[in-house]
Amino acid sequence: MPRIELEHVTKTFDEGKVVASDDVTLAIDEGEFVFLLGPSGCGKTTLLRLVAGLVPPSSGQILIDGIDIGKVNPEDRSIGFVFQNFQIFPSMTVFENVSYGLVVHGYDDETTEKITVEALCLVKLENRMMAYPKELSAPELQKVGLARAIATRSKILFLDEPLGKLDPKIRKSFRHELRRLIKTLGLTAIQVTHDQEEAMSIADRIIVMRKGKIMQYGKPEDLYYNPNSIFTANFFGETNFLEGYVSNVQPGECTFHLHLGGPKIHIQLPAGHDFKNGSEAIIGYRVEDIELIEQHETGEITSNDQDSENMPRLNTVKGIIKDMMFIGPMRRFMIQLENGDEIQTKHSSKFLIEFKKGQDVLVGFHERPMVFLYPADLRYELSKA
Amino acid sequence: MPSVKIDDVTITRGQRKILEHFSIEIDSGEYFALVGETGAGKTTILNLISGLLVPDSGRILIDGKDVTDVPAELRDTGMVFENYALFPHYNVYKNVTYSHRVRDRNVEETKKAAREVLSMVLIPNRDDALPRELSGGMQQRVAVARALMTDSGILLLDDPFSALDAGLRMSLRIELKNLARDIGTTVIHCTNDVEEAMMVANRLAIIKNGKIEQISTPDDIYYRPASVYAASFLGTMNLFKVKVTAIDYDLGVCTLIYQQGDYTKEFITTFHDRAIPLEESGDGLLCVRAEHVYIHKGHREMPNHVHGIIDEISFLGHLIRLEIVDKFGKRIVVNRFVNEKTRYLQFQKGEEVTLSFQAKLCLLFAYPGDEEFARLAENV
Repeated sequence: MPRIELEHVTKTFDEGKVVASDDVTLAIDEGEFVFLLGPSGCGKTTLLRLVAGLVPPSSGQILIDGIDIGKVNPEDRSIGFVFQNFQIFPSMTVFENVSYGLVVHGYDDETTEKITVEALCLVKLENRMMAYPKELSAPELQKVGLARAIATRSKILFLDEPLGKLDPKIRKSFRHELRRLIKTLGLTAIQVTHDQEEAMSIADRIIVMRKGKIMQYGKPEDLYYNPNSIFTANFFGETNFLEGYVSNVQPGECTFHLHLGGPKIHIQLPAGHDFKNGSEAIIGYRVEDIELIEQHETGEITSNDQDSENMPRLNTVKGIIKDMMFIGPMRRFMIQLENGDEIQTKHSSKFLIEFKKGQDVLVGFHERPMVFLYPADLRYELSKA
Repeated sequence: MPSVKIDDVTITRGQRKILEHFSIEIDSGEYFALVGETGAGKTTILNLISGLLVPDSGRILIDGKDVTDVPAELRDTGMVFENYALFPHYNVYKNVTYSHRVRDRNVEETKKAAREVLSMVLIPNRDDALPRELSGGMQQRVAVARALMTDSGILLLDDPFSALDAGLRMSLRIELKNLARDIGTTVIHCTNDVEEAMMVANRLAIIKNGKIEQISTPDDIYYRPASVYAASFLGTMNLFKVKVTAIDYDLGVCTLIYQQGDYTKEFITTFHDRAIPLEESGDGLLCVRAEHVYIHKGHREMPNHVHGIIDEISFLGHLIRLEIVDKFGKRIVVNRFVNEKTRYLQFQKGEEVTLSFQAKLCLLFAYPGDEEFARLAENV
């Protein structure tokens, strides 16, 4: 049974002029760790506030454990909160901050202490109980925020950009700690973030939002490998979009002609597609999926990747290396194709032939790109990105 | 495009020395990055160069000239901030031409210069827009344009992209790098995101507590870090306490023993000159980057390997991050690069695997002591 359910929830502000949530229907299962993700202003925070019962929906229903959240008194809602800017009382010790809610709720001293110490042990702050916030580092402050939320004994946790104020390196290690904690306690959690990588790395499922609407809801791998829109494809990972039209359309395959008289490549089409000969289309390749192949004068070729098994048939087209960058574990190339299109590729720096700027290369496009019909507003979409 | 030099500068705030006898030299036309944790002193260094901060002692030189006593408005360096810092009630054109207008520059020349910088940052036709009518990315482009209107040929960037979405951040980095190269500005770019620094900079300095931990090209620091801190700063690092059993200084090769209880493994690694001093039969710290660990299915025997069980798998798109726990509960992080060809080889939680690493990709340092080791290991 789902723990949290939204049915046709709409929320408007300014007498209907601003639609922050647009007919949202979704369910979150017990013990699931779900992320809300989308560009600034897409309605993530409003949705979180709606589910928390902090603002009422304009229409639709929000159920937690089958009960309408609007009918539950705020103090009886069993939801813990963690905020980006920690919201820790500066004049109270760590212990006092965490136990504050329990004291307010009238727990006796013994129970309060037991629960507080337990929560602080879980976040590994048992040695800093008497410290004041100003003595703590940013990650420690957020651990206090977490302990306080845990101490409410809520089975549901809402986190609004909880790692936003931490340095990138700490943020990357802390997020795994956060997931472990939430899973250990069996909490149902919703986290808002604008960091795609953070969401992909620790979420069970991700809700992708845009202009108050849910674009896609699924596991990280699904969103990455099977995006249902250009928006989602562009939102996760780095993608090269190539414009063109199709010919030779068969049930499962076709020929794609890159625009401006570019090369032709053979691609597979998803089942039940709407393509006709001459349809304008857009195909997407992740930067890591494009191969670079060196062509020697003898005609022999050297491929970039060592592993040649499982190789789908490869289309090769001519290109020239315009620029390259070294980013620690990655190498990145800017390549210009014959029709003038510029694409980027990304490779592990572990196995690589040495390429030079200005060098001619063969660019390998596999047969399974993401394929989209060309919608009218597409050019606008991409230029905005 | 001038060079920038900070010479033996000390800055004190109350009891705290923010910088102490700090020196750094940045070549003309260089794209230079300063990286470090929050509070390391990066912004202080930028403020010294712009003239917003005057050192207690030491000198600032721009293009060889001592400017220590020259006020900020006469140094006229271009600055770009994290929060854009545009004048909210001025439109794009007035923001960009601000420095020219307060200096009463020739109107026609100002117009021409503004046209030029605005087209460089790809905002050619929004002169009348107010900042709030623009997206974050556009506002930051306007801020860059404004900074390019200054005369010094120096561009100072203080964490310019951290408020932007990931995709935008990525494309602006590349744009700015190309732009700086094309017009030949000297750029000093502060960030706490080391990936950003490696991507844009010709050289970078890792700053720790007001001191330079290492200064070099991204490539050099990545493969030949001067310290464990510098090594770990550039990505996820696995650390093993090992005993050094034999060293061949001529070949730069040594043998190590990784021991926990009665479980021992022998490793062979290379080491570089910055890792010295190492002692035979002394303790060493073996560092292996997460992306340099190879993962194999099942229990296998091969050089430089350990066995373990997969405890956690997380998906990062082009990377899969795996956490493996070895026999003694030590966590080892593996970043596996995946693409269309390699993603079909899947791993499961609970699966037994063999991890191996190449001798030439290992880094070896003297053991820093148990306390420091625990602190470093916590931040893997």
